[in-house]
Amino acid sequence: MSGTVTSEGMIALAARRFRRHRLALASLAVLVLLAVASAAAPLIARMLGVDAEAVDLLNRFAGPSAAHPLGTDELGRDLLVRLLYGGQVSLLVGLTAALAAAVIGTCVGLLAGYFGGRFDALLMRLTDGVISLPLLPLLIVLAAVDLQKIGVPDALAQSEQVSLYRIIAIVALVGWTTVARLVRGSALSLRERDFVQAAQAQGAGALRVMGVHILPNLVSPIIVATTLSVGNVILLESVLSFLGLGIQPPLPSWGNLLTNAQELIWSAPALAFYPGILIFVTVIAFNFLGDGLQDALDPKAMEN
Amino acid sequence: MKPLLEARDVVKTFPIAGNRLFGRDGRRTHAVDGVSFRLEAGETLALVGESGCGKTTLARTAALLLAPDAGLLSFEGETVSGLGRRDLKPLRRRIQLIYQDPFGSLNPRLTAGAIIAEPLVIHGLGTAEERRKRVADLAEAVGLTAGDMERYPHQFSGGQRQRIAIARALAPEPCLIIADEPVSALDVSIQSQILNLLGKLKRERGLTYLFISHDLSVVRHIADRVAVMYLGRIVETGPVDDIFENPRHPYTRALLSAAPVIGRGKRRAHETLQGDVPDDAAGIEGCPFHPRCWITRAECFLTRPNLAPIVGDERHLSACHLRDEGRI
Amino acid sequence: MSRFLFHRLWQALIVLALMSFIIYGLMGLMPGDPIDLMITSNPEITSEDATRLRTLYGLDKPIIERYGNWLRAAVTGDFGYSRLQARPVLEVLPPALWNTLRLLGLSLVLSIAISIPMGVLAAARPYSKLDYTVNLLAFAGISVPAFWLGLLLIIVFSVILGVLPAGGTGTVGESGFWDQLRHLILPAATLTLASVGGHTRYVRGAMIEVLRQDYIRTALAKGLGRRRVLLKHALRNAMIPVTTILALDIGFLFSGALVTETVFAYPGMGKMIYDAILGNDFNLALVALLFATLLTVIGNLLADLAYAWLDPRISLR
Repeated sequence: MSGTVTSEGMIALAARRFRRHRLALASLAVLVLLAVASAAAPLIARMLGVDAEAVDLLNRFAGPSAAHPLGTDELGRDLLVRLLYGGQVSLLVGLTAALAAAVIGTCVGLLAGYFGGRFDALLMRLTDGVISLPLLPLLIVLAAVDLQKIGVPDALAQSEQVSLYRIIAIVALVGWTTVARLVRGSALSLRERDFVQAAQAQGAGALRVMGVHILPNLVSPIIVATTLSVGNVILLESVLSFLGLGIQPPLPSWGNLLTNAQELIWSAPALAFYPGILIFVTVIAFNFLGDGLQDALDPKAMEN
Repeated sequence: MKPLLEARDVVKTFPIAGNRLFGRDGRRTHAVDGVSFRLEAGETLALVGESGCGKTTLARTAALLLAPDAGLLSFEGETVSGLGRRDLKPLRRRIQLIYQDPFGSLNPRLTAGAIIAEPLVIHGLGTAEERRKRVADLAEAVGLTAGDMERYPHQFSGGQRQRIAIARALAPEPCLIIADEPVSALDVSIQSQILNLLGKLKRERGLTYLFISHDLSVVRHIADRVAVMYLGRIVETGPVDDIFENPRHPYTRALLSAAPVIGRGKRRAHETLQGDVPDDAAGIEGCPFHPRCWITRAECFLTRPNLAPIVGDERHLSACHLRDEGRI
Repeated sequence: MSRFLFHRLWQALIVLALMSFIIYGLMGLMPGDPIDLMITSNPEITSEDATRLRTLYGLDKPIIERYGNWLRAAVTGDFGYSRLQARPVLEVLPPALWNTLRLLGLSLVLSIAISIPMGVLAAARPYSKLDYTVNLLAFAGISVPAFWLGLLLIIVFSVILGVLPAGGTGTVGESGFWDQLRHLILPAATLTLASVGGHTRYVRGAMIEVLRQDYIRTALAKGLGRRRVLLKHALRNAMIPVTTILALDIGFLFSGALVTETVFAYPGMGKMIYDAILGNDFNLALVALLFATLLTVIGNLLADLAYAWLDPRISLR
């Protein structure tokens, strides 16, 4: 098994493989563009000379113009700026919830895979239980819970941002199972590898073995799984917001912008187009990105 | 003189897959089935046998990774087979393992330096600065450079990775190193390099080796004594030259004749074994080897031969009824 | 095999029991209990009245006891009354279920009719333009929000073209087969488009796996025609995962249908669950959710069984 000594670190190798995926690269570019544009919403609003909240009933349903590049909505508010602010929320929720779900899933999967035995069986029973619940109905029930009844302080429960926290929490609560299964499978097989046994043979404690030996070798599959899950999370958030249970107005999200659109479908069908297309583009971009990352970080390719 | 490592009637079993649901029935396979040996300080004992004979399990038990189901294991005179995790930890410093797969035994996410330093970290030896110095010294001792310490396993060749593994084993200053087929996965030209390195390190540092292998030519090169295993038992053991020139067990004889011998000049009669290695010795009455043996007698079918010295040489033991009837 | 079955059925029962308790509890956390609602609609109820009513309905008892009562009634078949519809729950469910089944049946059939040929063709010619296109379309399919698709379809076919109705199951006054079908087209199309992407990817993946196997190469080497090998050998083995999708989709029944039914105001199980939860129709919501869970669990169980039974390599421990 002789080979030449290469000088590339693993990240460089992965980056090189990733660059070969044109779709993934394009997706990355699109996502960065969307993120920057959303983040810059206040800036863009100022550039256009528009106030995002300004209601202008004389100018409802206006078509695209110099003052309003995408027209106005049913209250005369500039559509482009509303979409960008909505993007802030949707992207934020998507990334945060996916990350939270990944953290929960990693903990569960790592503990189950490392310790095995009864503990593993128990955790997997739990995971299977959560998976077998009907997703959307469960989310609806969770979203409809009265926060004051579970002891959330009034100041928080009445605030504008509470719907934001709530939706991140409930999506994370049901979304951790994919990562958990993935991590558990990988952890189980990693546990049998010689270098893990070597560390255990030295007398390393469970924490060290999990943290130094197993977890770093799980990073690739976790990144891929998380990226792929962001798309699903964004779809879930938009559905819930659309149904009126996710992000609550006046906080805009692409989902709840579509709620209005449905009511006005006979008078202003164009309003339904933009938020949806943005959701679509974002989700498909994350999916392509995840696909590209999966190929780039393929462990078989990493081991020469 | 107390041996460094001693095993007495050690037994290690594993449940047979698929029978776990029915605990009562629990048939188990006896990977190690009553093994006794002594390992004296400063010598190299080679454990040979085919796949599945139990040598790896025995090695892992000797390395305190597995607890024996029965029998006694003692290290430096103290019994270790019943000890709990906490008591075992300081002993782990003194017994180190080198694995067969040079890539699998190194964490691909750690640098070579971190890998070598890990035993020091786990046992809390030295400050960061002291550890760094020690890693550099060890790297040099195994033929690597200090610059190599910043690289990752995938950037090295198989032979170099094994050197890293050796350096890791040396880090906590052990007295016993158990090497499980350390050169089997390497090219032949690299094998001798690594073997020479191991020999040199042994002399310089006064180490003791328990060396597992299925390759007899390697064994001849490096061992002082040899123990041949079959189906979880030692069937023959003795000084290396005795075993090679004067085998007193048919299985040893078969292994020897199957091994390619380059330039020895002597021709050996070829003995081909019939049949496959059975899963375990459980169902066999008499000598476990008799189904495949070509020199069986009546007693071979009835009583199991003990591992006993041959007449005239205390150090050479064989588990064959025909042990005293000359070279097999 | 029966051991496995028993084990899984037992698990399913536990999940259901647990779920019923959890939902029961969660519903209790909904804003406003029935008495509060009564109070808002009748300001003359005093606080003493309220307390009396609570005792009368047993709402002041601890949750375990209330749950126990509900459970006891449930096992005898008494699932209570739907508040919103003023009828027993068991009377309300079946028609809604029927509507949803029609919708799902149609879209599942359509989706499979599209995804199997697409997936097989794509797998048979890897890296070709066809494969690339199919892959792209499938990706698009799983990335598009279903409810938005529904809205778009409504815009095109109802608002702009005016050829199809925007909702409901039937036009008032008409009850013919064609009328019902017209109302089914858009929702079914939405659901189909939303799920066909995932199905195609699944079929393609399964076919690729199967085609990679040695026995396929052997069959081709033996001289059997490519098409024959593809259809007879490969497809048959790829049916295993396909059956799995079918079974698993039963679980997605309520999620997908819920959204589509809400967009099209289609009175199926999905919309019923939604209305019941938000309308505080406790009994109905509870039973409907449990039913949804039951079907999901059964679906998962069937998928596991089908998979294990059809693929002899999987052990059933």
